[in-house]
Amino acid sequence: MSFVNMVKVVGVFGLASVLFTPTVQAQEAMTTVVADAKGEQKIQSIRLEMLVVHATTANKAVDPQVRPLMKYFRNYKFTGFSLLDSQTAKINDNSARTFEIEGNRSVTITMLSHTEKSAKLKMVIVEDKGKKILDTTVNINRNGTFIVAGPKFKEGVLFLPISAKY
Amino acid sequence: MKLTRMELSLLRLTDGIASAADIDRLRQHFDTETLDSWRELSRWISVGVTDPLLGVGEFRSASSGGLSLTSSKIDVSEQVMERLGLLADHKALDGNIVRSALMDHSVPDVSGDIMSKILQGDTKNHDVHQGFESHVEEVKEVKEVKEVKEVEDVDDVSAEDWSFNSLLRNALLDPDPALMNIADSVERSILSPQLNEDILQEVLDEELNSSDESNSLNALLIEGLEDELNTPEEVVESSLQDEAVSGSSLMDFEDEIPSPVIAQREVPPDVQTLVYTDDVMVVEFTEEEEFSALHSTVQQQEFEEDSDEELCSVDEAFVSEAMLVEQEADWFPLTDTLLIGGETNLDIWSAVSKKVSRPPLRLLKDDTGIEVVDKVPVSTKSESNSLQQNNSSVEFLNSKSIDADSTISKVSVTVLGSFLTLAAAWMIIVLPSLLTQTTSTINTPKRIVTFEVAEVNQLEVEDLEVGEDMNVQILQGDGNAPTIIFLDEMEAL
Repeated sequence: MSFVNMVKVVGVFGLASVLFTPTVQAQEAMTTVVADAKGEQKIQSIRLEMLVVHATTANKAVDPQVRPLMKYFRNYKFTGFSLLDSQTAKINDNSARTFEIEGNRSVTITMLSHTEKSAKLKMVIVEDKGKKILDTTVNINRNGTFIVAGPKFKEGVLFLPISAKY
Repeated sequence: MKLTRMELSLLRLTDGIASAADIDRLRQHFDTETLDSWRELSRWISVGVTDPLLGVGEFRSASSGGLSLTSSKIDVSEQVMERLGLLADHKALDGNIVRSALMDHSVPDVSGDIMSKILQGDTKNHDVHQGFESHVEEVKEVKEVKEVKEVEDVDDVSAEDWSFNSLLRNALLDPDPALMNIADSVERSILSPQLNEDILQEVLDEELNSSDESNSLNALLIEGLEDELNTPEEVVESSLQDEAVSGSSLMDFEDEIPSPVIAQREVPPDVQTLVYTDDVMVVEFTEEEEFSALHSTVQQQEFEEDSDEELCSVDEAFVSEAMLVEQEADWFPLTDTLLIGGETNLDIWSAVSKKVSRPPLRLLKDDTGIEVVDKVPVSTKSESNSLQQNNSSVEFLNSKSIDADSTISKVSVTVLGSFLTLAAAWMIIVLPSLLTQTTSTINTPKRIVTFEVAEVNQLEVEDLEVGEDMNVQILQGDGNAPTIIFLDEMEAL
């Protein structure tokens, strides 16, 4: 086969690779930007990310996806960490989003307001019997993360890292 | 019939239908000269059968490769016998007798034996002549009749020459170079009965006075007979006396005149018997019914050419008579050559060779009855060689064979190679990623999450309410670490 034919083959191969390769990249943050009367741009919505990590003393297995957070978990007695779920939601001001987590619990997050530097969120965790175990309002800095932990699950507890990305 | 592959190949080679595999197989066992001899075997047999100049010895010497051709002579004799139809009609003539006569010079009595059989047919052939001779035996004495004087100038054929066999025999023995070809002699012998029949036909013809030269003899004879019948006895006597004085030929009347000519002449009804009394001979004409009977037997039916009636409506008696004549005619050359004695073998061979029909010589007549005992089911070396010879063509997608050097072939190879390369590359690079994704989906039902923790994480808790039986702890690691709100459920006391 001549060099020209080889080049053609490689070119066709590359094109086919591009066409057939699925998109595996992680979803990028989707933010809605609206310009106000003064011409200043204002972010209308933020993206909430929440992980559900099961921390247990029954094992010492650590989920690779949890390893970036392990430095925050070492102060606890739990030895095993596994990622149970990951949820993302786009939320606007004065809107709420409910996430179902393990243990028949629901987490409702309402974005009360947000600025360029922070967002005010109201978070309510309710058990299956309607018992509210947590009701709090916090201000989190832009792209900041906080962690809610403690709800029992199996032989351990749940850790819920929550981020407000915008 | 069981043959080895070698034998089968040899037969195919002789018949000219040998395949490449046969030739390759034979080349492993025979040299080229031997194979060429086998190829020429069929032609040699044909030439040996048909060429009169090629003797048996030459025929044998021409063969090589150890093949005995003695059987060929036997086949020739059998073929001759079948050709002449003698095996059926002359069962006494066993084919072995003729075969021995053809092959063995030391059997001189065989020719006589055969001749005795043939002469029986010879008698049949001359029934017509004998029929006439019985009625004109007295007429033999009429050679002194005056009309005979006119006849003797025409031909001096002896009485013996009218014998059918003798004519043929002379024809065969004639040293004339023109007659050296025995085949021509045989044809003459075959045509001889027709000559006799022609004479009869001519006599039967109403135009007896035709100016045709062939009928001149008959016309003269008839005229003479008519004059004789109309001439007074005294005149006849004087004429006879004059004839005797003149010393004319003493030739018999039968010798000079074909007997059918005499018989054909219609005798006036009032002249039932004419007696010439010169104290020497008595000529007596008698109206015989047998003559008409004999005459009717030689009448031929006329049909149009290619008419089917010729085959369907021929009189059975006539056919049998004709067949006898034909058979005897066919036998005459063989009979004569056998009687000659000295050159029997050569004459027989030459005479027979023209009579033998020559179908296409195929030693391997039928493959159906042949079983190859050493048949090899797998491909042989020759077949593999043939495959190697055909490797210059490329078979592409069930299409016709394409020359490897052609443009189509090059393009096809390029396209096919490109396609296969592309497919292989796709399988190497793209497929593993697909498999990896699938595997991760199976092992980890949750999708991969990239959770990034910012370097700066600040949390301000404005309001906090927990359940009644819960304790809450707000934990903060280093300054920018995420704040942890830890709920501790109190156990019931």
